[in-house]
Amino acid sequence: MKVSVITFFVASILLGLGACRKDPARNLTVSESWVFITSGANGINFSNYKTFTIPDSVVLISNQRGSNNYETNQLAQAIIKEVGDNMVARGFTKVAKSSNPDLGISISRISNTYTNVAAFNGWWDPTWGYWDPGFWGYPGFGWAPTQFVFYNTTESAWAIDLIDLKNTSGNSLRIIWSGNIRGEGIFDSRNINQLVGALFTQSPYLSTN
Amino acid sequence: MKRMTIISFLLICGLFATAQQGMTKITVSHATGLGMGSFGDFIGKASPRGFSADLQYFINDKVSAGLNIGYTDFYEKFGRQLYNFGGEDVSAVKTHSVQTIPILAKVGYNKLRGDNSIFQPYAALGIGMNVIMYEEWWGSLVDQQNKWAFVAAPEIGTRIAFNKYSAKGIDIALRYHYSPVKINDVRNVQTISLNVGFFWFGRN
Repeated sequence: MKVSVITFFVASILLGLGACRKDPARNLTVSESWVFITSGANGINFSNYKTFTIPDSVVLISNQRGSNNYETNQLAQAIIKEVGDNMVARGFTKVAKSSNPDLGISISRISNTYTNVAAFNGWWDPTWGYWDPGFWGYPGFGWAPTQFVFYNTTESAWAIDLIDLKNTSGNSLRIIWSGNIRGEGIFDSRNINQLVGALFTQSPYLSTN
Repeated sequence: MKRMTIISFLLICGLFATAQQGMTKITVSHATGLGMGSFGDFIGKASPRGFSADLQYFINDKVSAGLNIGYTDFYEKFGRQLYNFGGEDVSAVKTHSVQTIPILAKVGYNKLRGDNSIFQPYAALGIGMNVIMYEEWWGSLVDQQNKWAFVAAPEIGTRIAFNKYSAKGIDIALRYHYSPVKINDVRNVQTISLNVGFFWFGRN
């Protein structure tokens, strides 16, 4: 009997090892890992906005390198150009910051290493390195937060936000469209065209028409 | 001495078909699982990644009692789709992955057929705990929940002995698991598993 029980458990363990789990993460290609989250279709009529401006650098939000880091490298230039090109293709006109643009575009690269954060709604706080409202010509303003819910944080994300510079009531700037990109290989400049294109494709309302 | 051993062995074998009282049946099976109900909607694909191990002590020739442990890995990947949540649009390739590990205390009724057949059908009922490891992947983002839940598992099966006198053979069983547990859109975890494996009897 003793031998039988031992055999039973050994056989169970062997079968258990044989019946391995199919790991979802290992069964995703790079592009399948990408998640595009957009918010902004909440009754906003984008045809009321005609011009936009976009800074020449990307905000780096990282819990490894401190705050207030700005990037102007090849990757930053690639995404700035791609976002600008998509905006122009949707009928918006790119202007200098000094020309009273209707929209400001903030691009942030989030590179954090922690995990298991389910709600993530504070990175536009200037202490995290977002453009200070003063940059947009509204010193002393704060941010009116939009609401994002992420499921689990991974190490990296892009956050692209359209800021309403035309209607500035009260003392806060309003983000009227947000696009977030998560997944593997999103900081590879060869993927930027596809990544940004996907955000705009799923936001057909983002147009001057 | 050798002759005595052979005679004893034949006697034991001869007696086997009619008397399992006091013996322990061990079954180790490969399991193919399929989700049902809302769990079937969550993962519709059958899974060949499973096993079941079963230990039954025969209280008498008809009634057995013991333990069963099983494992099934359910997995399904869906093509890229756009999901809308109020004001948010999420485009993702979703993957649903659930592992179930039912641990059952089981009672069986084993004499559904005459003694001399190599087919010995049985019916059983197990109750216990189901360890459910739930993962809903959005691309590389995962919503992960682990639950312990009650499980009830009725079962029908048959053992097919290698011959009329053998205490070993093939065991085929169909087992249904029901766990009343709510995880997101899954209102309860219902699965059915086809278990095909080997059994053998050991004497205490």
